[in-house]
Amino acid sequence: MKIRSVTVCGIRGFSEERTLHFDDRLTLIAAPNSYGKTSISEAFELLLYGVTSKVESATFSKEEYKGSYRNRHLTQMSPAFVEATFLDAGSEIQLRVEIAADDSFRKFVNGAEVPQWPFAHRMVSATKPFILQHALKYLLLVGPDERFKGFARLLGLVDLDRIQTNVVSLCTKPEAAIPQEVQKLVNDVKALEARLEARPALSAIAKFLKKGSKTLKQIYQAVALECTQRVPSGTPKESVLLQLLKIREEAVGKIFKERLILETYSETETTLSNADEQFLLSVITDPFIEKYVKLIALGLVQRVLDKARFFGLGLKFLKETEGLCPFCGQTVSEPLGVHIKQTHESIEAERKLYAGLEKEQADFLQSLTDLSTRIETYHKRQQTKVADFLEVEKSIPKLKPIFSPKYDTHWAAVQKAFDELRPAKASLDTAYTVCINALDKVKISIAETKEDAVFVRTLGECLTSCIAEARQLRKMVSDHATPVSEADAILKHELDILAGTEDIAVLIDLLEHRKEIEKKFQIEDVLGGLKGFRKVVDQFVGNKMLNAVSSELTADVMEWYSQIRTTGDPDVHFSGFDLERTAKGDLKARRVQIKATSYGKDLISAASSLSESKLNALGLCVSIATNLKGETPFGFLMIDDPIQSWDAEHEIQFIDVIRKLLELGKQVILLSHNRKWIDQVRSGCRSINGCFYEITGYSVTGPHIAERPWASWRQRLNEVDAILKDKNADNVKLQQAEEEIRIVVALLSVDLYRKRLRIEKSPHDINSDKARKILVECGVDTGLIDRITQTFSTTDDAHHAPFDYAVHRQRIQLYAGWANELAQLVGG
Amino acid sequence: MEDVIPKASIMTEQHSPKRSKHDEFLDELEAGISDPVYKRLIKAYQGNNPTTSMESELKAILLEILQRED
Repeated sequence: MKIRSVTVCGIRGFSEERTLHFDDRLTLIAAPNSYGKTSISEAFELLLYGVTSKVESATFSKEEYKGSYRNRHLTQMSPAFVEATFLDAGSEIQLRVEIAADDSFRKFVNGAEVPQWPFAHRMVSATKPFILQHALKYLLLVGPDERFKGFARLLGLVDLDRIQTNVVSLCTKPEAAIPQEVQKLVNDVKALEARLEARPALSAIAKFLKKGSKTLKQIYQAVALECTQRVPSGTPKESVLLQLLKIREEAVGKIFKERLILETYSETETTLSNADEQFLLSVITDPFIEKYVKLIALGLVQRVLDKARFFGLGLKFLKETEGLCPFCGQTVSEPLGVHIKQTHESIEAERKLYAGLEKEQADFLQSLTDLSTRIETYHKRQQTKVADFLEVEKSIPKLKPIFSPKYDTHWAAVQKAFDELRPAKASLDTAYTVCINALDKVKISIAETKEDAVFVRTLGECLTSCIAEARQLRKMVSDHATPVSEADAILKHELDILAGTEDIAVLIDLLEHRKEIEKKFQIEDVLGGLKGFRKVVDQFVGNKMLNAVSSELTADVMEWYSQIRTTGDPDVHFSGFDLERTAKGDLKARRVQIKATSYGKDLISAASSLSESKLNALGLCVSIATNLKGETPFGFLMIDDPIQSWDAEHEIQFIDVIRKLLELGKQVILLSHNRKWIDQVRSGCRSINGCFYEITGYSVTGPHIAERPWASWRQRLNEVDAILKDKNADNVKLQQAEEEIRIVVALLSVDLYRKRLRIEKSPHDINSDKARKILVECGVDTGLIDRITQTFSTTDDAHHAPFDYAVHRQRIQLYAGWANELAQLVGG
Repeated sequence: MEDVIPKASIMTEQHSPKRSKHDEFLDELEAGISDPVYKRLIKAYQGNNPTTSMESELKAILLEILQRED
């Protein structure tokens, strides 16, 4: 993609609209500092990337730049946009980005809004086609990590940077990934290890345990040996644990038999309780009350239903006794029999009307039964959680001396748990009883057909109150579980001290928790292995970067660097890129090294040893080399003020670099504050015939941009004359002369226009028709106009020769004469 | 919208089965790794927040150890 033109409005220094056309090879823009030169390159950065590199590389808060893209003189509603036309694979494509007052961007391709540019995927790994001074310094004169990021950006290795950063983040801070239950297991086993280490008699086991997972077999061989010494001889292997438990229980039981067990709610218990609560709170709703109230009607029709049941039964018996009353045995006459049947049919028909009501009553009673079961289960779950613990309260007189005074804090925690849980459980039990009573009242009201909505509403209130009490208890259990568990561990430990069973207790725990110990080793292996994971990723990233900077980039940079260095330079130069290594020779993934030599001797620090002008040259070369490397959708390169801090010799050298870039097919847009140097570039690239703009002033509306001729028409005419006088001039030279005449005619036409009518016109797009119009308006003789416009017949509007073009010296001589005639008019 | 995008660009955008550089790096990295835990962590590297994805995978690995019966 090459740039054809750009229109900037309301962005950075451009308050009002400005348009620039670009040559497809070289465009020069000269402007003193602060005249809006950089705003042009930033407008392109915003258009393509939505951010300027100055903001992107800001090490401090990007908030400071918020809202800085829009020109400060714009109103909220004023448009701020960059619109550029590119030439892509032979087609023109127009990109436009609009920036709203809130910094939001909208993108358009050929007038239609798009979420992203059609070539966005090719931009991801491509180097940005902008070479900016502040970016160069950012690349070289920063810390190693920032330099790595800068190189990653330039070399299209940003993904590599991200991968390494994310992996380091995981490996250095894995705490967030350790589930609570895993951490608990690790802590419990560590506590057991600490107890083991405190037992001198068991030091053999402790020694193996310290060595980790590989010694698990030896650990348990040592455990088995220690156990055998503490159980009666001849105890079978499988009974050793039972025997140890018995020994300990007997010894400890003489002092205190109970334990302080208050376990926190498991995930399953929590899920079940939450589901119960959700159910219980959702039962008593207005539709439920309505259903209940509807059952009152059943009471009113109960007599009909009873009568229907009575008749149904009577008829059944009547069939069996055939003509006799089934109850008293008297004869039932035929008319009486018919009367009975008819009465039954009529009552049966009435009963059917109320059958739905009966079903509703049955369903309602079933829902009350379900409710009753659910509340009972719910209550039991909470109640049993604390029941055993509260039972121990009776043994306080025996328990307290075991804790006090050594473990007063833990005892206080146990006491507090008793003091809070006891009334909480009592409140829950009361609320539950009230709830059950309310439920019974509802059931009785139905049985006695004395339904009253108040009963159901009361039941709803009781359920809410019961759940509130249960929640309170659940919270207390969660709060006290850990301190009580710690107190229990102390109790166990103290009892073992008092009973002299500490070694046995540790052995029991080692036997009972073998799986946990094994799992703890495995968990530690995984977490410890993260260091290895990081190392693998570091080496991968380091090798990739090393390959990119040393094998691929160094040679290219050296080549460009040699273009800039001059013969008079002291021999202190950049000598290549590398990656730092550890003492063992491993790569330090994020440390890109810039190497330099001084008269053949390696320097310690290139960044501090190379002069600013050399660092500037190096930065330019790195940017150019990376821009020419790899796939990119962009065929242009925008270079902003490249010659800062350079002497005249280096400035001239850099013109060769520009020529080389043009030879490689790059479209170059060069911006500089140094007008003199820009003139030298024009002179050095005389044959290019590019575009040249000069920013001549700056006001609140933005920069004042004037298009200037690449060379004066007089210089061009002299060159044409010289070619025509040269009898040995080949066809290429002659064709160049003919092209020069066309440019001369365009320049002369706009010059005349300005002189005679004071109207400015760009010579850039002058063709035969436009030249004719200008010359007619300027009052030029028609004969000369006809002759002048003929000079366009051998070149098209795009300034190129047609396919059937053939060089003809006499024709060119004729054209040169006509151009000289026009020059006489202009004032030559 | 598609009508106004030049054909050449549409072709490039829609018919490009190329894997991103990001995916290529991850594939290459994974191919050079033999440790099963490292492999799982690299496979989990995806989405907008890959660190969180890897943390979730590490969490799953640790829970598997915790819940292992044998």
